[in-house]
Amino acid sequence: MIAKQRSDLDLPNPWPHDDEIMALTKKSSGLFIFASTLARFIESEHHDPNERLQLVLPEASGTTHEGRAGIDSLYSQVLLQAYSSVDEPEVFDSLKRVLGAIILAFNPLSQRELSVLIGAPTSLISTTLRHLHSVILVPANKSNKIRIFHKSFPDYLQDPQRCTDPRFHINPTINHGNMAINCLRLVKRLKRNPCSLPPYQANQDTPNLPQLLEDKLGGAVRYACSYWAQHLRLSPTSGTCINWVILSVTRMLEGTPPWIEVMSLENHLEEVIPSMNCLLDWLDKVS
Amino acid sequence: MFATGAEAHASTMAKVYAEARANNYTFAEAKAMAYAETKAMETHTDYKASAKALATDCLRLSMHFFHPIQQCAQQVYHTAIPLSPTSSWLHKSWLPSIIDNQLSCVAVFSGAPNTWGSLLRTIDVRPSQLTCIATSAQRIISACKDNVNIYDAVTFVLRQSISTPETVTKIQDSPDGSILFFAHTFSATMWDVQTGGLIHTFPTQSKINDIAISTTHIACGTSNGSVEFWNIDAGGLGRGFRAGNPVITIHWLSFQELAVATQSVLYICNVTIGETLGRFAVPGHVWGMVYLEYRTFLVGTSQPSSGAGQEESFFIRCQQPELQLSELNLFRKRFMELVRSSVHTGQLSNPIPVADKVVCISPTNGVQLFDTRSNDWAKSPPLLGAAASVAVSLNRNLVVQTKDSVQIFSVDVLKSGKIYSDVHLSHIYPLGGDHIICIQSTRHLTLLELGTMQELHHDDNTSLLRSSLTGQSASAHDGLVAEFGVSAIMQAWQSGIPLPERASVLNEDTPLRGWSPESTWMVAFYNLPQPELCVIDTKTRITLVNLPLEDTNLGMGEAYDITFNSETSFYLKIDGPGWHVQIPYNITVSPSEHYTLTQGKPAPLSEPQPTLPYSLDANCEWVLDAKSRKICWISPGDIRRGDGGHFWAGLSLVMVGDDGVVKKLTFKEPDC
Repeated sequence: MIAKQRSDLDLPNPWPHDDEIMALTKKSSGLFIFASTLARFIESEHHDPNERLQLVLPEASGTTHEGRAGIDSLYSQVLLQAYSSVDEPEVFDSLKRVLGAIILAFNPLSQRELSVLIGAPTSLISTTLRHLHSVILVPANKSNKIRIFHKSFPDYLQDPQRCTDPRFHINPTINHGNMAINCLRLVKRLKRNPCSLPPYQANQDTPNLPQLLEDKLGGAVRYACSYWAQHLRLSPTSGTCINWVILSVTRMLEGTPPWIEVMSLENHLEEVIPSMNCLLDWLDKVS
Repeated sequence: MFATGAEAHASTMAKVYAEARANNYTFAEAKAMAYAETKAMETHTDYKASAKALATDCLRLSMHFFHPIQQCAQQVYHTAIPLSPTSSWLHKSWLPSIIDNQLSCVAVFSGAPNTWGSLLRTIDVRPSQLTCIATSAQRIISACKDNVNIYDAVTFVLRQSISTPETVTKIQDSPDGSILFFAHTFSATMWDVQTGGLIHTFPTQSKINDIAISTTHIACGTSNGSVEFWNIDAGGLGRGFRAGNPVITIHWLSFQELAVATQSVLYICNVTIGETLGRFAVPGHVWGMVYLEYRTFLVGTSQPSSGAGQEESFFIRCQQPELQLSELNLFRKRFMELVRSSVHTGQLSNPIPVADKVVCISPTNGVQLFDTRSNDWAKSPPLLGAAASVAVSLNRNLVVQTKDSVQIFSVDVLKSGKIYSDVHLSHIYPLGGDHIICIQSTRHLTLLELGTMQELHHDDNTSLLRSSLTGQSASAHDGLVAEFGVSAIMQAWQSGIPLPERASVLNEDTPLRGWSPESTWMVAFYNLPQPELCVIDTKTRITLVNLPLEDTNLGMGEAYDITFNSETSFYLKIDGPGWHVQIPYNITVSPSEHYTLTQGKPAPLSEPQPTLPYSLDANCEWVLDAKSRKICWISPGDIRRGDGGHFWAGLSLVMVGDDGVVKKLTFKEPDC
C-alpha cells in the first residue's frame, strides 16, 4: 500500500523484499502494535520509506530483538529519527514537557488544553509532536484529543531500563510533580463565581451546566480542578523540588473557595475530601 | 561562611538550580525551584506546616458544609465561610471580600466557634429514629424502623437505601464488604450490598441479643443462653454453644474462636470443634466488649451486681493471639490474665477501639477514654450531647449514634481534656425583648443579654426551677418565665432581675394564658364548658374574678392571644372566618379589694400577624427569605428543633445547639 501511495519514489519491486518481511515479522513477535507503528513510521510523507525501513532492519536479524525488546528498538528508532538533527537541550526540555504531560494525563487532552495546562504555545506542541505521528495520534483539529496509539509507548518512556537515552526518558515521579504544579497554577487562577451565576442559584436550576463550565473554564482548567491531587499523590516527596511544590500547593490553597465552587458545579464535590486527604498524606510523607 | 544574607541566598539559588538541572528538570522548573528555596529562606516560612493547616481547614469546611455547597456552589460564600470558625484561615482571609461584595446575608454571627472542634459531620435522619449503626472502612450503615441507609465513609454521602421487612436491631458488615447481616428480633438476614436484595433468612429459637460475623460463620447470641452458628458459604447450621444465662454480647477473636459474654461469665469457644476453650468470671454484669487485635486485648465494660451506680471495665490481655488447637492446654493456662479492672463512675456504652485508645460513651458524662498504652482513663473534651448513646469506630474517627442523627468525630476527640459536664443548655426563650433565658439540664436558669450575648449573673438560689420544664412554657411579656409542670409553678424575671417568686395553680387544659407585665396576675382563657376569662393572683394563687364570654360569638373564631398593654388592661385577640377582632378588658380593684373585669368594645384586629423577613424551613435546616430562596444553611448540630430550641428576635435567629452553646445569627435587611 505504501509502495502504491509513494509511486513517485523509485521503490524496488517487490518492496519490501520477502527476507525483509520475514525479519520484520520475527522482530514484531506477533505484536500488532509493532506492525502498526512500523507502518506509520515508514509511511511518513516527509521521508523516504525505504530509508526508514532500513533503519529498523539492521537489527532485525539479531535474535535478541524479540517481544518487548523489538518494540523498544522501534520506539527508540522513532525518537532518534524524530530528533536526529537536534542538539539544543531546550528542545529536549520541551519534548519532555509535552510528552510527559501527554503520557501521564489521567484523561486525554487536546492540543489547546495541553497548551493551557503546560503553559506552552500550541505551535510548540505541534512542532514537538510533528515527527511522532507513528506513536501518537495528533489530530489536525487542535480541539480534538491527542491519543497515544498503544500503552506500550508510555511504558517504554517511563522505564529507564527500556528507554536508555536520558534525553527521552520520562521520569514519572518528576513529571507528575510538574503536572501537579501546572494544575495548581491553573486552579489558583480561578476567580469567584466563574460561571457568573446569580446568587443562591441551585446547581440543578442552572441549565446546561456542563457546557457552561466548558465555555467559561475550558478543558484544561476543568482537568486541573479534577486531577491536581492525583498528580500530587505521585509526585516526589523529597529532593530539590519539594519547597517549589509545597509553595505551589500553599498558594493554590489560599484560593480554595473557587475550586470548591467548581467542584460543586461539576457535581464532583465529594472528590474534594479525598483530594485533601491525598494532599495531607503527601505532606506527611514529605521529608 | 557568607559575608551577607544575600550571598547565602545567591549560593542556595545556584546550588538548587544546579541540582535541579542535574535531575533533568527543565530550565524553567529549575529556576522556579531555586526561587521557592530562597523565598523559604528569606521569609523563614515553614511551607509544609502552613500547607497542612490550610489543607485541614479546607477539608473541614468542605466536610462540614458539604450539604449546602453540593446544592448551590456559591453557598461556600453565602454560608460556609461566614459560619466557619473564627480562627480558620479561610474565614479570616475571605470574609472581608464576602462582606465587601455582599455575598452573604449573615451580618453578625455571635457565638461562632473559634476552632473546628472534633465534629466532622452530622447525618440527620429526622423525622426517623435510629435503631442501630455500624461502620466499615468503606461505609457507615444506619438503620431506622423500616430501612437501612448506607453512606460513603469518606464523603458521608448517602449511597444506598435498603427497605427491610422488620426492624433492624444490629448490623454487621461482611469482611469483604459484599454482604450485610441484620439482626431482627427472632431472625438474622443476609443482604447483597450490590443489589440491595435479601439473600437468606436465618430464624432463631429465641430473641437475638447480638450477632457477629467472621469470614466463614454468622453467630447469633440469644436471650435463652444459646449461640447459634451458620456457615455462610455452605448455608448449614453449625454446632451450637449453650451458656447458662442469656447471652449479652459475642465477639469473634479469630475465624473459629468466639468470645461469648453472659451477665458475669466470659466463655471462649471454638466453633469448629464445638468445644469451650475457656471460662472466666468477670466483675459485674457484662455490658459490651471488643477485641483489640493489635494489642491482643479483650476489652469490656460491666456493671457491678451491687448496682451502686458504678460500672467497671475489664481488660483481659490475650497472650497468644494466634489460637492454635495444638496449644489448647497451654492456651487454657496462659491465654488470659486479668491485667486491670478499672472502676468508673456512670453508665458506659460498649467499648470502641479508636487508634490506640478505647472509647466509651457515657449518656451522662460524654466521651470517656481509656488509653491502652498507659492502661488508664483519660478525660475528654465536652463534645457529645447527652443523647449520644452508641458509637463505633471508622478508620481513625468515631461515629456516634444519637436518637435521630449519626455524628462523625475526628480522632481529635481522643485528646485528653476537661471532662464533659452534665450541665448543658436544653431550652432558650426570649425574655422581655432584651434578654434570653437559658434553661440548663440541671434546671438552673441563665440569663443572657440579647445584644451582647453576655451572661448576667444571679444568685443560684433564685434561678433554680422547681421541676422540669414541660410544654409551652415561656412568656415574652416583659420578663415573665413560667413553668408548667404538674405543680404548675411560675417564676418571674424582669429586665434580667429576678422578681419575688410568684406561683399559681392552673388547670392543665388551660388553652390560653397571659401574664401582666409585673406578673401581679395571670389571665387564663377557658373555652369549655363555656368561654370565660379568669384573673388569678400570682401571689396567693386565688382566682380573683371569672368573666363568662357569652356575647363574643367565639364559636365563629378562635382566641389566639392575650396581650397586656399595662398591668391592668389587656386584649383578647380572636381570629376566624369573618371574625377578626381584639376585645379590650380592664381589671379594676375597689377599695374593699373587690376585683372586676370589664369588657370594652371589640375593635378590628389592629394588625395581621407580623411576618418575619426570614424564616426557617420545616426541618430547621435552611433560612429562607420571602421568595423562599435558600439563604443560609444551619448545621444540624447548631440548632435544636422544637420548642425552646430557637426563636427569632427581629432579624436575629437565636438558637441553642447540641453543644449547649447559644448562637445568634443576625441577618441583613432582606433587600440584600
